[in-house]
Amino acid sequence: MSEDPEKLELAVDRLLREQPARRAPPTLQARVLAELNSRTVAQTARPWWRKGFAHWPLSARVAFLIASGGFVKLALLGVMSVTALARSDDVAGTVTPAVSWLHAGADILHALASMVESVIRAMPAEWLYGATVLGVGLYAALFGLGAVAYRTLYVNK
Amino acid sequence: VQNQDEFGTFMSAYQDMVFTTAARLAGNDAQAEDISQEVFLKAYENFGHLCTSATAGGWLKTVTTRLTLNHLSRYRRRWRFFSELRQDDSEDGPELDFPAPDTLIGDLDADTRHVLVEQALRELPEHQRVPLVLYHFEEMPYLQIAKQLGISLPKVKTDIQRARAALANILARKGVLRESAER
Repeated sequence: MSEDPEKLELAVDRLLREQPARRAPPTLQARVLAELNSRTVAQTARPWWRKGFAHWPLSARVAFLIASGGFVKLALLGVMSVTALARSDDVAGTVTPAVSWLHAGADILHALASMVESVIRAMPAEWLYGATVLGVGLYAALFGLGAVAYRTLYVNK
Repeated sequence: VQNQDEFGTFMSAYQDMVFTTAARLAGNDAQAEDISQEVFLKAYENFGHLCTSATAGGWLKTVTTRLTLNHLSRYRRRWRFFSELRQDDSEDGPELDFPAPDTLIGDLDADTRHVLVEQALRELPEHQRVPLVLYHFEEMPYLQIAKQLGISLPKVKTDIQRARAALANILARKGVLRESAER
C-alpha cells in the first residue's frame, strides 16, 4: 500500500475523472430498434384473448363481465343450497356415521400424543440435552460442508 | 414508428453514457452491450415520461448500475458472505510510493492515456473494480456502495484502497504514472 493513501486517492480520482465517455458500439441502436420492432410485431400478431383485458374488444369485455356476474350468482346459490341441505334431517342421518369416524381418528391421535409425552418424561434429561446438541452439531456440520462446497466448487471455479 | 424515431434520437443522446457505465462496471464490452440493450428496452417502456424528463440521464444511470450489478451477481462470483472470508490480494502486486499528484501523469498523450486507463480498469479483479468505479465514476458514497454490494463498510474501504494501489501499479507498468524516485 502507498505510504500516503490520500495522495493516491487524489491522483487516481483526477486520472479517472479525466476519462471521457466511451463510444457505444454502432450495433447497439440497431439491436435495440430491431428488438422493439419484433416485440411490436409479436404484440400485434397476438389474438385479442391473449392480450391484456384493456385491449379486448368492447363486446368481449361486456360479455366477460356479464358471465363473471352469472358465475358469482351461481356460486352463491350453490353454497346456499348446500347449507340448506345440510340442515335437513335426512342429511344429518347420512353424515353422522362419517363424523364418528373423524372422532375415532382424533382419539387415536390423542392416544399417540399421550404416549410420546410419557416416553419423553421417562427419558433422562441428559439424553434430551445430548440429542439437542447432536442435532445442532449436525446442522452446523452440514452448514460448514455447504460453505466449503460453495467456495470450492462455485466461488473459486 | 414516429415514437421509435424519437426514441432513436433519445438513444443517440444517452447511449455512450449507458454503455460506458456498464462497460466499466462489467469489465467486458460484449456484456456491456447486452446490458445497454436491456436498459434501453426498459427506457422504451417508460419513454412516455422519460422523453420530457430532465432527469432521464440520472434514471438511465441508476438503471444501468442496477442491471449491471444484477448481472454480475447472477453470473459471477460475489464477494458477499463466504467471499468476505477470502483474503486473496495477491493480484495487487508490489506496493508503490507516489510523488505529489500534480507530477503523477506521465508524458503520454491524452488519447493514449485514456485507452490505457480503460485497459487497466478491465485488468482489475471484479471485487476491486466494481467499488472503485462506483466511488470514482458514479460518485457513490462508501455506505451506499456497501448497501448496493451487500458487503461491510470496512470491506468497501479496503477494496477501494487496494483497487487504487493495484490500478496505480498497472498504470505505472504502462507508463501512465511515474513511480516515485525515492522508492
